[in-house]
Amino acid sequence: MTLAGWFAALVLTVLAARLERRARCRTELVARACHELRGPLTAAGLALFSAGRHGELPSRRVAAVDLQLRRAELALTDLALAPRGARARDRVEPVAIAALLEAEAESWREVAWAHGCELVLAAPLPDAEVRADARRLSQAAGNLIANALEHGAGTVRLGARADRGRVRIEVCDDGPGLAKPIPLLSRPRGARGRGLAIVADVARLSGGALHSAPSARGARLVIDLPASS
Amino acid sequence: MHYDDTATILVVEDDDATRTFLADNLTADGFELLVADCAKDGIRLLETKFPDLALIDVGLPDGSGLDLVRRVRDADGLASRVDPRTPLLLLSGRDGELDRIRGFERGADDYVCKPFSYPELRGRVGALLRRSGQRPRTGRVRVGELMIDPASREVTMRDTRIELSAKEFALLRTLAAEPTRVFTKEELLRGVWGFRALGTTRTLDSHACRLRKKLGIHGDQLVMNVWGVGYRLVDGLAG
Repeated sequence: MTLAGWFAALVLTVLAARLERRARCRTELVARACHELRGPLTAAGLALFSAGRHGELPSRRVAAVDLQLRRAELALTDLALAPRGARARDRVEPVAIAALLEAEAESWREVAWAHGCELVLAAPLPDAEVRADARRLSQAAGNLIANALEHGAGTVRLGARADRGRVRIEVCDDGPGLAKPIPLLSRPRGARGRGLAIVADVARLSGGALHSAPSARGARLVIDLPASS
Repeated sequence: MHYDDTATILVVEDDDATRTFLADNLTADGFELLVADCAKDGIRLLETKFPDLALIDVGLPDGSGLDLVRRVRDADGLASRVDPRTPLLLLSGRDGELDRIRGFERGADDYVCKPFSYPELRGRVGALLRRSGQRPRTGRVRVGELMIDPASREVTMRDTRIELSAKEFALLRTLAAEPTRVFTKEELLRGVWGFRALGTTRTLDSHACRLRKKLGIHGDQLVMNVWGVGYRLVDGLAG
């Protein structure tokens, strides 16, 4: 090997070692952040349970906040496993759609108010179940509601329908509608576009799909899932 | 202190919010609670209060909860007053397989990762208490030449068996939990007799006097009267 070859090999070795060191450093930072998040989440969960049993919060509010805490716990596990290219294992179980959407509406109603919007839970909700991880469905519904509050306007309607073995969770708003088709909007662009990508992933991994539906005004996004038999 | 069948749980957790809300929920479920925010206080309570179960956080400010578990398991129940069979449940922010294995290898009976669901933790506590129902509730206590075995309710002084009444035994057990501490008469009446309000102390004094006489069979001076305050077992810890 020539002197130039030896020099190039040395440079590559040093660069590889530096990259590995940086990767290890990032992994350690993620691990520390996850460790630090576990304490507050534990305390919040215990405080919520305590408030519920002492009647300091109505049960529907307890259920709503509990679902959001479980969603945060899931995100934490996803984050902890991300350096290994993995994510939290889903806990697939029958999920009652009406209870899920009632908890989501309870969680998001005051956020909607802060955005100058009104969040309405469209009645009647179907007496239907899907087989999925309730925390993932909460992620998906929550992201659709957050998008509608951020980009839509007026009244945001959350609802569901069950028909011919399918369950459709719908979020409609009074805003200007979607600027682009969903496949384009769900491609992350810098800090944006992750919400719809998460919704699309959850829908796909639950055996369904995310799509938009015709609407007289604003956007109407639908998570289409197979109903559990 | 209590003497009924309510289980006493020790929580060793340095995070104030977690410790407070965990204690709040366990108390609401009918348990007696002891709390500590560091390993040192945790081991002190294990030595003096004999909890039926301990929940121990792995990350403590003055040491690892894993070391605390090992210290309990290594106790011989004789020279050390910790009961080595105390059920121990580790709470940890680390949820890796190796972390859990390490916890079990040190002697933990169960391992729960944070954040946990309280109903699940409550279920695990119940299961551990059920499984440990056959074991004696506390370990043997030795103070100098005095030996107390709560399981058999046997008391010996220099290998001589001493016969005690139920109340004398309860009084001795209370005093032996912290042999050099002065227990006020009010504390002793409430703990041993369950008196809500401070009543006459004549009953306490007569039991203490009989206990002192029985334990002094070989000339030992125990059950010291601290005038105007209460009683302590010994003036200073004997070897």
